[in-house]
Amino acid sequence: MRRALVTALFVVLVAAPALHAAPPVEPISDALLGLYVAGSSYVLQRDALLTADRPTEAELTALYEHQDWRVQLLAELIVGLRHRPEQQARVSALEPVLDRVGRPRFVGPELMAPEARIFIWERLQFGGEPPAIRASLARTLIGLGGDWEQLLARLLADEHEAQVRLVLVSGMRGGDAQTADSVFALALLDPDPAVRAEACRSIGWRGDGERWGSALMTALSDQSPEVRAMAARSLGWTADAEAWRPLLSRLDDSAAEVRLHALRALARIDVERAAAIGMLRRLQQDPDARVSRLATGIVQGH
Amino acid sequence: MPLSANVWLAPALLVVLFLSGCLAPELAFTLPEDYAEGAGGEYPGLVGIPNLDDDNENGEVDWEEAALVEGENDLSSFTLSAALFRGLQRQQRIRMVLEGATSAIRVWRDGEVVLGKVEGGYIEAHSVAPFEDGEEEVLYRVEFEDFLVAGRLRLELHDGDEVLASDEIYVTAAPLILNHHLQQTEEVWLLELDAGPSYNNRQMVSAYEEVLGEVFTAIDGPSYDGDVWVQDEFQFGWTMAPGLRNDIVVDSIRDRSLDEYPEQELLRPDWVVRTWGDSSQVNSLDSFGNLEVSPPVTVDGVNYPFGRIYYGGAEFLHPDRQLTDFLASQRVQRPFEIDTTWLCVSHIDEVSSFVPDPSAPRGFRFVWADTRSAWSLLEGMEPSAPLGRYSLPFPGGHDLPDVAAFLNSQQLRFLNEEIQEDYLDPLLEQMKTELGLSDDEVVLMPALFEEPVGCLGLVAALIPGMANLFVSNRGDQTDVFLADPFMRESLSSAAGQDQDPFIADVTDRMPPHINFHFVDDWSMYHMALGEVHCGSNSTRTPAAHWWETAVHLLPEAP
Repeated sequence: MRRALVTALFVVLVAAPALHAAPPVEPISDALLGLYVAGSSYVLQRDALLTADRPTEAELTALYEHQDWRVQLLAELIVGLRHRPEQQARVSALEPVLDRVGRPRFVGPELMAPEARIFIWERLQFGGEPPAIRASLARTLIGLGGDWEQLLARLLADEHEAQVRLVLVSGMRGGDAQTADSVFALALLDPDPAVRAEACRSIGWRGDGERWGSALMTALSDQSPEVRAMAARSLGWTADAEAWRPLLSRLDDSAAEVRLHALRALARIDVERAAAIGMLRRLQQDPDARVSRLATGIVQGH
Repeated sequence: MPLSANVWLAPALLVVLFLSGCLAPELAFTLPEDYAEGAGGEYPGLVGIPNLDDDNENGEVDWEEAALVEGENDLSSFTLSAALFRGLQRQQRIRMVLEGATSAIRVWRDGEVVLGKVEGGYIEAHSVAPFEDGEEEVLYRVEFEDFLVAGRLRLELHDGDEVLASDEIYVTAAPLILNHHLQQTEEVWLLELDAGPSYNNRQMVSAYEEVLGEVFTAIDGPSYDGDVWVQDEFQFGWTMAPGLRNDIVVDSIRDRSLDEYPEQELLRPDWVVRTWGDSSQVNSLDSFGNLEVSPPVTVDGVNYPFGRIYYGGAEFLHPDRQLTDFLASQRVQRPFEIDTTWLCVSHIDEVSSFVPDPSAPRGFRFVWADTRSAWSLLEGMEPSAPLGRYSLPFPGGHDLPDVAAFLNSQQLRFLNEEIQEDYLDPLLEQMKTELGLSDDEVVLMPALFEEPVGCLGLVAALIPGMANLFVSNRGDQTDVFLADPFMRESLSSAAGQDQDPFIADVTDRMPPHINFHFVDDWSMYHMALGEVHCGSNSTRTPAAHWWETAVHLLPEAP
């Protein structure tokens, strides 16, 4: 239904411009948004927008401040395509190489230019490629930095592939706190545990990780051990004293990784107090060698 | 009978008895000159190599062929002498008997199988007929189907059902032995790729070419889709027996673009390409950067003259057990596993290596990654010192503009502290135990790790991993190729290496006789989670005779 509506708009706006001497901005933005639901006819519809007289460049640049971020990007994309089609062709033709683990990785000077970002985004959004390649495109996008980090939360909200969401979340290992707020708020509720764990991990890498202390404490009760472990580690890295009790409760976690990070976090928060923890003697006998070594080290004051 | 007759009869009887003793059949296998007197009777006896190559290049493994093929040169031999039949009495017979792995051994005489595997079964006994035309000796050839196949060959002198005398030798096929870093280098490979200024290994290839000359081969990158991980796709080893050698390419189940390289470029007579494992179950630990061999060591009184195999893994994630079980079955390089599952790529070569050192107690040093050394070096540097390569954003670099960016990152310190405590320190202790290493045999290599995006919290080298090095030994000359750490402003390996404190420190820690080549592996290897060793491979010259030095490690005699 929506696709039909958009196609009708497309015909009205692009194919029969003579009927519309001065279309309002909204039909233009709707036509742009139509690309989101164009599916296999994306390229056809996009190219029609490119070659038509309307929307004009002025109309498109006016949309750079549009309230819908997707319209902003699509307007920028169409302008970019009109001015730098060769660059877009290079970006879309780039073949990934495989890193040593076998994950695709994009390299080349085409990806170092900030102006290439819009085309990388286009390929990520509309390229219809496998998740691993899309994740690599997302990683490249983040690497280019700039104000694109503000789009992470928006891209994250719309993204269906966990592998891509994970990469988008990792983009908040740095960056401004407000953007990170929205990214982590979404990511910590993600259905995929790897994404939730990445959120906990990324919080730890930030200098202002204590800002998400209570979220991490909640994550200590996550059903995934990977998430609990990363939450514990980040609470330790941010030395969040408020987390003492919740961390203490994780010392008998069924997952060794969680016990390890909880114990280390307690030691990072207050090593002397950690040395007095009653469970320490039991942890010295922990079946996981890393935990028993750490417990012994804390007892011995190392 | 008159007394005089008895006087004559007694000496005549003595003469007959004496002569019949001299003329008794001489039951003996004659081994080639390479063997010591009596070696055949002691396990492993007459040794050979499994006939797994394709000497006539018809696409079929020679063992599988019905007849001996043209150019066949992988069989061991012994001879029987005409003395075998001297004094043989009419009712007596000579038989040769094969015991042990009878269906995996063949004994050939005049182009015919006389013992062992034949179509539809095997022959256990062979009647040795007197030689024709006054031949003084007859040549027998022994063929083996597989590694470490063993049996016993016995010559028996029969009189009816009674065995009057016998002689026995062992026949044993060589184990597969993998190369270690102290052996002489024969040929070296690196994949050459030039995809423009930001993605090429020109400098690295030039350095290999310049230093190694004609022993170096650059693999054409585009022909193999730019699969630069030459170490990971195949591992070189060999089988040997006196006068015999086959090079064995263990072809990984990794099966990426380089998969066909051994078959296309290396396979020829006396070369064998074999794969162990199920490629549908492949994981990163099946790559052969995760399969290494120590130099010769003695551990708890047991001498391993060909070193010990080691690889990364853990209970829940490990290399294909078909391969590791096979390697264990070869006995000579008794393998052990150490946990590398905390590394994103999980390869043991990311953190360890060996280099030769004539001044070391056992002629080598063990190189092991160490974060404390790296921090100590960084703390000695000017915090504002710019770091050209590190400052580049992904995918070009790590977005760390200067030394201060390392020093001021509490998180980076935490991460590396944890890696050191949880993994590097205990695993070093394990390596010391497994290989009987002393502290002074260990060189700690400055290293720092990061958590690359998408590695789910597993780590990879942040400073190009210099423990991941490649060793070339030619004569007395040792060249070590390792990653340029780029701990300086320069973006080029051609500039500033003499000002790089990490290079100075590493050179200082390592044996002085080594020629170091710090090569630019940054864009193509380091940023793709690998380093110099991952991209290199080599064949090496066998350094000892397993049948002389490793008998104590072999399986029980058959």
